[in-house]
Amino acid sequence: MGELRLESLALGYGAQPVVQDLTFSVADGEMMALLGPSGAGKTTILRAVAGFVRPRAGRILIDGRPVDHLPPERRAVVMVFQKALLFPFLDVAANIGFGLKMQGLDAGAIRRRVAAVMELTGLAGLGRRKVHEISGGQQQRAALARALVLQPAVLLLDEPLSSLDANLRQQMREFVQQIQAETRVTTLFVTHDQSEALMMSHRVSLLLDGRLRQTGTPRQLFYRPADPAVARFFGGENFFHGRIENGRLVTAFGSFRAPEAPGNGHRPLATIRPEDVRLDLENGDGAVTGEVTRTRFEGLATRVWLRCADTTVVALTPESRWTVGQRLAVVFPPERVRIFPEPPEKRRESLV
Amino acid sequence: MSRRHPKALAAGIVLSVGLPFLPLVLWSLSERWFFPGLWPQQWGLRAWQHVLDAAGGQVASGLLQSTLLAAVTAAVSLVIGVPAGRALGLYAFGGKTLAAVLVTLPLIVPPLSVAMGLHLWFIRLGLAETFAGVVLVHLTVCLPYTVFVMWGVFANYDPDFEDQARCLGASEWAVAWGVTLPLVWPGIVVAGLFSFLLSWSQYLSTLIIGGGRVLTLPILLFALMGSGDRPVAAAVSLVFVAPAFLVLLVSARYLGRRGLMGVR
Ligand SMILES: Nc1ncnc2c1ncn2[C@@H]1O[C@H](COP(=O)(O)OP(=O)(O)OP(=O)(O)O)[C@@H](O)[C@H]1O
Ligand SMILES: [Mg+2]
Repeated sequence: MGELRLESLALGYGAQPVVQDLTFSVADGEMMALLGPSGAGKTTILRAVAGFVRPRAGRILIDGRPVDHLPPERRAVVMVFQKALLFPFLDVAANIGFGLKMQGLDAGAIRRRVAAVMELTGLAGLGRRKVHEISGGQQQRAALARALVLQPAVLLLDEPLSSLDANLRQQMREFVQQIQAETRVTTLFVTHDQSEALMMSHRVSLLLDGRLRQTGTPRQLFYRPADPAVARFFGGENFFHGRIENGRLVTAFGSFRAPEAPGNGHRPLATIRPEDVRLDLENGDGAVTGEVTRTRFEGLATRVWLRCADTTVVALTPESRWTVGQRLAVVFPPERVRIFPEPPEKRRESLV
Repeated sequence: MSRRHPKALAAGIVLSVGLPFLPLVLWSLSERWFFPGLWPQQWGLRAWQHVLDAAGGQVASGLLQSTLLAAVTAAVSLVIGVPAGRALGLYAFGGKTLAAVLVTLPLIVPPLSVAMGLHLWFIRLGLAETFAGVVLVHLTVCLPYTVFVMWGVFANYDPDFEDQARCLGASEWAVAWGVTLPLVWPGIVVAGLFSFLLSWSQYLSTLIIGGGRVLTLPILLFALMGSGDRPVAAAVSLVFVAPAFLVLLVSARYLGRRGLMGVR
């Protein structure tokens, strides 16, 4: 059981504000990724939820009850830090049983529950080891086990995988996801890695410049970004202003069919992801064309820069046959073109 | 080299540390020893008999007094020095440099001046010639060392361990007792040991503030030395060094086994 809700939360250190007006909820049993670049304030938010940072404004609720007045040990919130922080003076089993011991459980019950969670996290048989006698991945799993054994209302994970090498990190992502699905513990998972956020969580909250920009499913954030900054964060390129005329988006370099077009007369900002841009040999039937100015081979795909009238369009294609100087037909599949909702003041401007 | 010849290394250390004590042992066992003889001309146990029999009561009470004084001084200097070292090592605050200078000050002022200066005040406060007064004057030496050692320990300490423990359900008190203390324990052992040994070897300040009422082993030693009886002085010296040596040995073994934990 555990629904976490943050309401108009403002956080900061001294005179320096870090996060403003933060509102979102994590549903019971949900895994939400809190995504943002380094320094965005992700750790600060987790520390506030855990009770280590006092909010300047706003409220934190768990299952509808405010917890702001509760000290960290009485919030039923457990945080797993970037470093495993296993106590070096205890063995692995005693580390995992630490929280249960604090609750005053008897030794037998602690032993049983620790054994069960060690089984779950693949640490069976390592209980008597010293902390430095297990690998980095095992240490992170032990830190996770130490939190899970308490069956917290909310589990906070602060980039617990970022210190692991790429292979191990991939394994651990699947492992964490699987454990979360099994235990159904409400989880707020911090990461600055967009693919990690997209692949691991039910929903993603993106934090940029101290503000929550968008909360939604991985697909929503990826394909329907709320604003250009969100799109850019997920690798979006090709931002251009256009004019809506009869369901078509008219730009400086040509016009395209637009699926979700607002009414005539709007001058929205639109974008298309580079991998959605289709390139073809020019066949002279009047489609938008561009001249290749640069190509870059990136392994799975090749990035192609094209000059279309005065605008540069970037395409990411699986084909690597394009060469500089070629004239190509540029196709924007309508369902892939994203037209941003105009901010209120812009809309007023365009009405004048 | 230390890996391949641990025994040779140990022997080397024992020799270099132990050699200076050899003359003391020889002196304490000599009946007559005149220049230029390399060994005593006549061996005997007179000095030890004197120390353990005739002056035995005195030596025993001096031993007790010194131990008590050093233990209390070390305890008090830890009680003050650990929180102070934590503040200096973990937090940034205004006047930190000033605090560092103030902590060091008693170390650079000659102990004689410190003791003389304090003496007048202690007379007025009724602390002169008391156990508490001597503890206080010993603290002027021991506390700075404790603060410095603990400052260093906490500068390498990760306070996230404490937050981790808090959200696992430990109260503030449980964290201090069950997490912080074990993490900095080796540092506390070192600092406590330093304080103990520094207090143990104080002479001048004990003499001035204690005024001959607080009879520690060093005071006794100097009195016995003053009598010009070298074998007796040597025997007392060994009695004086032995407990300190023992403390050092035990704690060195302990630290060697555990190493410093809780560092980032
Ligand atoms: N204890 C502190 N005192 C003062 N400022 C701090 C403190 N901790 C963090 N900050 C500042 O608050 C801002 C947010 O820090 P935070 O650690 O929450 O970022 P983050 O999103 O977790 O970054 P990262 O991905 O690098 O971990 C940063 O500008 C940081 O410098
Ligand atoms: Mg962080």
